[in-house]
Amino acid sequence: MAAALPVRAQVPAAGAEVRQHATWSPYDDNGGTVVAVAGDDYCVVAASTRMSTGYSILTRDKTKILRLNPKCVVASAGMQADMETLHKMLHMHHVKYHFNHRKPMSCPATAQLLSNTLYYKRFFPYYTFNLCAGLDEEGRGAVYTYDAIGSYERVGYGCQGSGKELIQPVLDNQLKAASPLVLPQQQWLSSLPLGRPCSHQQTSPALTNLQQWLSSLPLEQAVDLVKGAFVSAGERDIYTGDDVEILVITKEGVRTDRLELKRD
Amino acid sequence: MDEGSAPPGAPTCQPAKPSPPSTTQPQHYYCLPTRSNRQQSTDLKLLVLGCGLVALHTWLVHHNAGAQLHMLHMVQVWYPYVTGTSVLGITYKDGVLLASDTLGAYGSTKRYKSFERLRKVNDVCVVGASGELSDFQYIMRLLEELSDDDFCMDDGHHLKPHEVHSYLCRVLYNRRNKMDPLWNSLVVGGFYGGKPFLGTVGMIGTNYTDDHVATGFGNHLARPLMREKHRPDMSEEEATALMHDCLKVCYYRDKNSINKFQLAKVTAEGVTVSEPFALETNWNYTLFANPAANAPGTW
Amino acid sequence: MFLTRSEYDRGVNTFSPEGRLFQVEYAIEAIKLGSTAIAVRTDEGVVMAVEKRVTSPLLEPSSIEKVAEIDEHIGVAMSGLTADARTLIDHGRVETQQHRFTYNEPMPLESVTQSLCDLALRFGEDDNDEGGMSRPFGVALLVAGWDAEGGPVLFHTDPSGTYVKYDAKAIGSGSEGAQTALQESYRKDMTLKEAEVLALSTLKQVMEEKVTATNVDIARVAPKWHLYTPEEVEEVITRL
Repeated sequence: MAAALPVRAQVPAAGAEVRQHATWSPYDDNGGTVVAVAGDDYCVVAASTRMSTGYSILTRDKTKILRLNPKCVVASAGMQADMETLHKMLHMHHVKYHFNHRKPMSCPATAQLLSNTLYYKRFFPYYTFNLCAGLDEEGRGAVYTYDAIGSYERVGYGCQGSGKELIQPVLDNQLKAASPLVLPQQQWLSSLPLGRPCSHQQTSPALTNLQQWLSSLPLEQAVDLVKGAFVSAGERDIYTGDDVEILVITKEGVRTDRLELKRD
Repeated sequence: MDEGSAPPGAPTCQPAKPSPPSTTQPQHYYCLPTRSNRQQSTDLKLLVLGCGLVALHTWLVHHNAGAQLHMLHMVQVWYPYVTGTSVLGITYKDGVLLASDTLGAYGSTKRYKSFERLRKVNDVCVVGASGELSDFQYIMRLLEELSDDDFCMDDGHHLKPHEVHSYLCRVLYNRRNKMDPLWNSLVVGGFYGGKPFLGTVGMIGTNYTDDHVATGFGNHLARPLMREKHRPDMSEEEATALMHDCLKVCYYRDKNSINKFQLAKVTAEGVTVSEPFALETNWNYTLFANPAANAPGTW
Repeated sequence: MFLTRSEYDRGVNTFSPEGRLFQVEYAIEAIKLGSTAIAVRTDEGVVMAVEKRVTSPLLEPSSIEKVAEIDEHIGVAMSGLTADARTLIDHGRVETQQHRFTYNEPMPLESVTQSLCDLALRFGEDDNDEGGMSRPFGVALLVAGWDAEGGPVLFHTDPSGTYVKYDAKAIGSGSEGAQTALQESYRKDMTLKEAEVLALSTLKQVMEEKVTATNVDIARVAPKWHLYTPEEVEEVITRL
């Protein structure tokens, strides 16, 4: 069968050009997984610290989390060089914002800025998969999830990077995503008015439902869930391993925790 | 980060030369242009980049960003001619050690056997390079300009190792953004403020710092040894012995290497780059003499 | 001030030996020729009341605009060369929309004011060919707004590019008398309704004509911008 010819048997025709090398690409995938879970008054953000290329580990301790201020962080997986550039860009904008407006950039503001930053490079995208997480202006946990070119959405929890396929379904199952498609709306999802009287931010009903349901998730349980998810992803995903950096963001500040994963 | 190990295209592709118009042989553009005729191919470069954008757009429509990103492959990129292989680096108690061989290979030809790939930047910092050596010479010129400025300012200030590293990361990342990469993986070693610094950066700007680093094949051959034996509190003797072991393994297994090495050392006392030296080798290991000894049926 | 008049009042970039920039001072004088504008801040919002000089019965009063919306949460009242204010208002509108685009949040009031003042200072720059200014703006603004954090705020800006925060402020020809009146009657715990009355009655004191629904404009930011309809103005007049 012609289709079964081994690769080595495919001799190029006389005079045909032989490619001498792998084609150069400006992109590389350095792997890594980032997870964030929002609670009523907290946000848990976690990222693996392994940095790889192909089947090689480059280093076991590279942070993927940019801490902008005590209420907002950005965590990114994907290509390290793009991630670093993106983080430096956001950091610079944050400093400028602080000078111009005399306050730290809020999480929703950072989320919009990140989206714009990614979208402006739509035709030569940052190969990064991001989460923006922290507390919103009402002090509630906030997680924003993105694609590489800036589409974004506020969610109750999110996962990005090489372990996404392993972790996201677990989070969906454990945290019971309140799908806005489920009709009629579930009784336990019924919304209560949230927020201050003069809120300029529109909060979608689906989000309100989700937030409300998540408010029943205690912080310790959320941290345990995130840890469990990373340990599981580390079992099967070669790009997730070594260490997990965990940030717990509350109104008191940011607490850091570290979890050791397998180093294989 | 593997550019040193990939067989370069140079020897088989004729460098395009300004041939007389009477030549009957059709001039294939595919022939890699030499660095000197870059200018005339700029138009094509732009044209192809344009096509790349269209292709990228199509790709974005059909995929969720996140799948393999190979849409830019039709952009004209130059491939390396004369290359150096792995550079190794480790920290130890009093500083850092960098090591590499002195080969400049033209494809698989051992073209230049005394090319010094470890260079001093200033009293606290050295840079080692693998990949295209002409690009490395260009990078060294950039660093020398910075050092010259520091010298002229005469205020005692100089670039710290992490600043050199950060600078090189930006230079390499910028060039990859222009689709005109500097074909190198660099290692930056230094000692400042009582602490050793060791970092590396690849040709597309990916970078990290660690207690031990290695470029190219070194990442496969030497780093397992480093991971097993390295301690941050090693003495200079221990560190040198480990480095020798690593160099030997690289030399045994990397055909694009020679037994002529240099070691660079950065400590509080300053920078020293050793004279080239050879290591004692032994090719009589059973598996070297008879590679198929433990694998019946192979040749 | 006219006693010290000298050759030093020609260029906008030249200090007099006493350390004054005459062109800027003249610009501030120009405001004192303008119609009176008053703004009062309360915890419920900011109220602005302005006088419209209806100089002819054939003039359509609604075409005189002395208050303008910058963004949903910011409005300005102006006095002086109101044509100059257009430039400032347009600039403010662009800045606030830009901020919403980038950060998905309303722009803080002080940042808007700062940005307007930055523009007001550009007369000193040298690029007279395109977009450059040949003289200072001849207009003062009362910038009223509602900050997401901090609530209602009121700023006053002048042609020198200085801005100051106020509880209640009057600008224009009747500003001196009006400011004194405001000082006497302003209380921190005023309601918005009381502020409407304070603003309009103060305006009434310094206006030559009788106050009607056609020769004053009232606007508020509480927390959103609102320009009062003639009926709403009429209703405030009945409460005077």
